[in-house]
Amino acid sequence: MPDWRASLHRSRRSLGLSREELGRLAGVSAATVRAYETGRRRASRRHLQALIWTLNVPYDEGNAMLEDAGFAARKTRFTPQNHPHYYYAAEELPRAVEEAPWPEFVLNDAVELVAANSAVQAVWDVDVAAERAVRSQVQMNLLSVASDGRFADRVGNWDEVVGALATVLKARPHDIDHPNPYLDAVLAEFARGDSAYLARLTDVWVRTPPHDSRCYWRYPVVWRDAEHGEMRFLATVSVCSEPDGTAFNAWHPLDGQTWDALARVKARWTAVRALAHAGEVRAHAGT
Amino acid sequence: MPARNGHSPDGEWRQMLLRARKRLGVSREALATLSGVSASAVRGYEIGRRHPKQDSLEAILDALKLDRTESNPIRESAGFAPVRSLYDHRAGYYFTVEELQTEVERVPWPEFVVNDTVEVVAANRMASAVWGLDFQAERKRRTPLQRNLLAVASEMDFPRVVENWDEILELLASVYKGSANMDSDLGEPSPYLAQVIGHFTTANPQFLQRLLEAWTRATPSPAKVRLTYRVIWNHRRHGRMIFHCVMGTASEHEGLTFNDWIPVNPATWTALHGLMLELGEDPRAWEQYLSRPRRVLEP
Repeated sequence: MPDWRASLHRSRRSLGLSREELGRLAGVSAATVRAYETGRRRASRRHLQALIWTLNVPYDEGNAMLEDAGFAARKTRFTPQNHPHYYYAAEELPRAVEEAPWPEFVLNDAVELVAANSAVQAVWDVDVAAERAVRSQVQMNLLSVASDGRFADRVGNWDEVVGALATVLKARPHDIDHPNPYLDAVLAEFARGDSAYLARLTDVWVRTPPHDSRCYWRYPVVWRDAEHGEMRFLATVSVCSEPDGTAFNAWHPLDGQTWDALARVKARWTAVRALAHAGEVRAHAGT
Repeated sequence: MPARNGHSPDGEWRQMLLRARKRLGVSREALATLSGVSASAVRGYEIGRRHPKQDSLEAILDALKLDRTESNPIRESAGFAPVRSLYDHRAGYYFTVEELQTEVERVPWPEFVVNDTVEVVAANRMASAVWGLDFQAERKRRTPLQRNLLAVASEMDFPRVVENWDEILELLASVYKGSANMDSDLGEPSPYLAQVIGHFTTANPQFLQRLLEAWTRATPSPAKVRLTYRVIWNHRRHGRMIFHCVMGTASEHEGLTFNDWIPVNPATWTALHGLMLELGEDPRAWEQYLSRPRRVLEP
């Protein structure tokens, strides 16, 4: 634990400020600054906080100083009161993911698909809005579709990708050994796909360590497109909203070949969408 | 213990609970077995005859495993505090500064971490290679202030090398202006920012004007958990590189933010591969890593 008085002295000196200047800027007297630095006086939280802010002490160091002086550290910079828009709201998500040039989607803490950009839909060859209209919430769980040929036959590293989903699910406060209606419903969906995958899922689940979720982590994805070949991604999972338990999943292409394939896959998707739209227009005109 | 909230329309949560139970196909009896709350109590909650204690409601929500977007409205409508984060108290969820130097080396593209005063606290080999600065060596040589991204940028000639430098400055200024704890007025900077600007100006005086102009143009942008920016980098030997950069949380407690510079086209990957060769690394390593059969997700 660093000595808060020494830290205060060092930070002030590193900025070349006199005690008078610092005191004036922080709204405390020069005598107080002196007393804090020399150990003559206990700190008041308000004054110490003002000094930390004025000296622009980095957050972690500032917290260490506060704790050393006997105060509770500031726990988070972004409270809902100070920063109501810090985390993403559900309605902001479609726009947020669409800004990414790579496949990007948002999952909640039950690994249900909350939002997906057009690159994801192009790669997966899935119209998410249309699927959402006909699927139940459990069927929007990515694990429930992991045995579906549209997913299973295209993911080159199935065990790893499913392991990544399992990591998130295992981080939730429950246990596969105990009855869990939600997980049962997901597994029932999963079992409707290729039955060979059930044994693999059990295997992956058992081997996936629980509680290793972090605020930022990655999993590799090897995706095989029948027409445009193999695409390699390193997916980054990052915080979208901690109150809602949602996370961005960004599939970053790992090489130039993947970017080329992605461009072709996107073009194919645009063409397919245009055709579908034309079909809808014709159908509508016909009625 | 959260207080009962008498203002929320009672009954809404009862409907939500009923719908969730039906959706999952769980009978009241089955829910009673799972949650340890009697079936008659569950019925009482659903039809409006009884109000639950917090423990009972939590037991039911836990048994149904509702995610927080669904369980929080139920808690709030029933008069209890919502669960704001699963992670606040979980050790190891956020990164510590010590862990970050290892963490950033796990990606093949440039990645670095800044603290909440925009000082670089970790940077990987590719970031160092693109910048032309050995961060590991510089870390020991420099004071924290000299590791401020603005200070590094002016020394390493970023304003000349980066095609969209003004756009990046403007974004940085927007963040400063939108944050309550940061400087918003360059005319009256805090002592810290004054020193950074001093350093910036000494290294490269002609760029101060551009900084001031970008600052004037910038409109405050509210703090956001994730920000993105573009970097168009003209590398002397390897040509033009285009990155789509993503900022994401490394630690909210300690104010640390990852910056990932993701190459967005084949040419940028070719340039990065050239830099890897200069570092004595195999550009095909990631391809080999991915084609190697693995049975578990490696840490």
